[in-house]
Amino acid sequence: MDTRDAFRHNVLTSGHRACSGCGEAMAARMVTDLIGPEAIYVNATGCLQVFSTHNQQSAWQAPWIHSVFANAAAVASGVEAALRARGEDTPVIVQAGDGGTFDIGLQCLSGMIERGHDVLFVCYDNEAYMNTGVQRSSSTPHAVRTTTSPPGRVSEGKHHLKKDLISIVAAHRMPYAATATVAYFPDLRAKVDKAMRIKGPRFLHVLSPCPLGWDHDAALSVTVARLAVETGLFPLIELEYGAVTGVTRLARQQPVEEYLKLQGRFKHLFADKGGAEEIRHLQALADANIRRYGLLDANTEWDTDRASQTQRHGRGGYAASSREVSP
Amino acid sequence: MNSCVQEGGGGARDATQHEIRFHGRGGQGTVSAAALLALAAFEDDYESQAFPKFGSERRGAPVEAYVRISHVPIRAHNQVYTPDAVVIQDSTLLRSEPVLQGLKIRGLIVLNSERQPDGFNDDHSDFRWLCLPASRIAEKYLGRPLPNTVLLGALAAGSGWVSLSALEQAVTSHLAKKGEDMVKVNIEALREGYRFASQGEEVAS
Amino acid sequence: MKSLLEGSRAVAEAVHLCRPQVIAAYPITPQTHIIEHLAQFVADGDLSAMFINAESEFGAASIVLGAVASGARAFTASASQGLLLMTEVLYNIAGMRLPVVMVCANRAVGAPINIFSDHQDSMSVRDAGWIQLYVESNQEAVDTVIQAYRIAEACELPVMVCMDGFFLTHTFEPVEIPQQTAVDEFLPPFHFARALDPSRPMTLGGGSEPDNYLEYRAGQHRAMEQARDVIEAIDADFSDHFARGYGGLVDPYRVAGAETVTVTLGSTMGAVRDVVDTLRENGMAVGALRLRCFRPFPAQALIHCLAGAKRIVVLEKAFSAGAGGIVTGELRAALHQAGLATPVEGVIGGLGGRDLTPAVIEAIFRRAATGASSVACRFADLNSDAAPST
Repeated sequence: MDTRDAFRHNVLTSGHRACSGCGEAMAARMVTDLIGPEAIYVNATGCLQVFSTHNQQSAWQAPWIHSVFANAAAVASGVEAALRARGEDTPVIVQAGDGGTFDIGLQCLSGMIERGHDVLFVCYDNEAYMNTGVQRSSSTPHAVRTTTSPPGRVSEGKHHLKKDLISIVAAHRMPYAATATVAYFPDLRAKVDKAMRIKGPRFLHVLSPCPLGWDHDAALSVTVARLAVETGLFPLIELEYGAVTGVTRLARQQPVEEYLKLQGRFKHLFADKGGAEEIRHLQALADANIRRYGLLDANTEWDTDRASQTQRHGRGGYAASSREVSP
Repeated sequence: MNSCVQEGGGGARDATQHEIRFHGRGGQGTVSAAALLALAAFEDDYESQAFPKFGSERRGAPVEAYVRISHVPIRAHNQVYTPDAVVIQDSTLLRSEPVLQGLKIRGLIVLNSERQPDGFNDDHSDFRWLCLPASRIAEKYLGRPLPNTVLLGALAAGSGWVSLSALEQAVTSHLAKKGEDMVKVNIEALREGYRFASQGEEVAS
Repeated sequence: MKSLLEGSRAVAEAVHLCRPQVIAAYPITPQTHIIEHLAQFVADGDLSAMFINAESEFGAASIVLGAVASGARAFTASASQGLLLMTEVLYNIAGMRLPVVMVCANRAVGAPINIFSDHQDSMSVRDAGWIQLYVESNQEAVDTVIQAYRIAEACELPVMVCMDGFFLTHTFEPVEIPQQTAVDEFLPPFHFARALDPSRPMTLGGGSEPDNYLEYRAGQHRAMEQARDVIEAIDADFSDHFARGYGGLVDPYRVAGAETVTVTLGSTMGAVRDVVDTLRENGMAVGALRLRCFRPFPAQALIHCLAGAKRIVVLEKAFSAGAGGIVTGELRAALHQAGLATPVEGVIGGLGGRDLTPAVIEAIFRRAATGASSVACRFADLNSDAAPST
């Protein structure tokens, strides 16, 4: 990995067709520039693939392949096997959205992890099928409005809860799995750095706001992502071999309304009594995360050396630890 | 090579072809027996073919396998319907399966049984019965009642279609992976089956 | 030197000889023995390839896609439901023009679930853009796998070697396994110019719009059309190297002077040859033709061999419900296009492992020879009493 001058590789270069304020474009640019062009990128079908390789054009300045929606992890397994057969150790990176990770791609992802392929799988999670026009996925949070989970006379949006994917992935007892967002770049960088120093299957779950699907001001993508963390709705954690080894703690917990009110996808919850009940439900889910991961605790059992680079907290105040992390 | 396999060929194909059907139960080495017979025929410079009755493999369930032995290349991949001989590894199959179906007139029956069973003699078909206690013989050599090599020895003696030495060769190469001891005891079992059948135990019905 | 080998073992040996670097598969009857043997070769250190146990056939196809895109020679095998689960990826492999080689151990498609052989699986993916070669014997399966890598890599098109499940995969018969040195001479190492490589970054599988998608697809068709000559040339070259050839695209048998010719695919041809010999001895002017290459469809080669026939029967183990025999329809179109009005009778048989016995085949010939023929397709050996009423 080349870390000499991150953000000068332009692995995902300018001129692509992402929407303004696209969290996924931001996240992909950060992640791929941290990794650099000396890697092979495998993309699932989705927004990133569509906006970066529109009609015979390509924004990729690294070898990049897209096959179909569900198979990115399997294609990457094949790429990695081919490299290994030749004795090469070029990093192999998968990029997929939540559809290609939580839903249609989950089986291939599980196979890739179980077989121990040396691949970093990055999920840019914008919590719905944005590419096809904002349909609900299993990553869509509870009570969200999408085109296939519309609020109506007898519905307050999506009935079900957001799938706890990081736990499912970590249950494979894989070397490294972590969550991150576009709002905390140093945290993201630390996690990418760490992932790239580890051999074997690794998973990075990056929350990536979508101004179109979440219906928020395109200028607020980072703010919204930050609030997802600060409310406790999207905990920033690290897991190694199935155990939580790192937690980004919060100085204080924001009420979920602060997060919800910026986004049109939750607007219906502020309209009536039923909505108010769902807001309380969402608050309870956030509170459960706070308790589960000790997000407000001064000290937790997870404050290990290995997790040290993500210990400190505060708005945007994360610096990557220079300490080497042994896999 | 027979030239008739090429375009424009044709002509007389030597009709000498022996078809053998094996009956057994899953776990008795029925498919292996067929493979061994085909291997032996191949060793004897015949063309040969062996295949199981196609289907799932389940321990204890009735199993069939087929062998063709011929002087000319075997082109058809059909199952065997009118065998020249049947080898029955488990006599209880006589009651539950149509083991004698299609057996040619004067066809050979090699049966794992102490004696010839009653009620299966057809005056018109004139079958040749060759009954021997293969499980008991196998027990003695292999330590378990796996009758397939004993019956193969008997089939070789009773039919004359393959030589004992070719069968020994086939057992040696087929079981090589399982170790020298396994080869040795199976060859002993094979020879015992051959000896038993050669001593005139064949019973004409 | 020939040895008596199970078909699956023989094919695994052939794959081994082609020096694949990545093998990915998911087990399905009757393909299993092929991949079990390959797994054993790898486990014993005899074959230095990555053997990847995929989580599904969809995954297996995707893994070989990734491997070949990275410049490795790869192999997979499947059948039936498994092949259909691969379908999306099969199209993708062909569209990306990746020279993947796979074996389809032909098996029926459910429902009702049936593990036995017919051609419905590979015929169902006939439009995916894969070259499809149907083999008659285990020797041909071995030789065709070796040819397939040459063809695939020369054309940058994927090749599916179709061998009848059980009838070939589970049958022991004499097979000559070529020498490694001879195969190495025939099949050079794989070099893929479009391989994923950081020193020459390329984008594979990007988007296409109405202004150029048609051109990509037309290019794929053109490559398939050109593959006919390559398949013939490589079979001829194989024959020079190994003294065994299979006629390239089609394999005629005693069609000279034949009035009634049966066209078929796969292992059924063996029994058809025997029946042709028997009927010829009885003075009937019959012949047969095996369609070895179904995709690309060898219309010209077929016309060339069938021009003298008075009537043709297509005996095939797959069909399009509501339309009839697939090869039947394509052959009729080819004859029509060539200005020939030869009647073609479509006979569907051997479905779900039903044995096409010499007696059944002989009856098909005898019926056809009387001139009885109709446009409607017919099922051979159909037991009307056993058919469930619907």
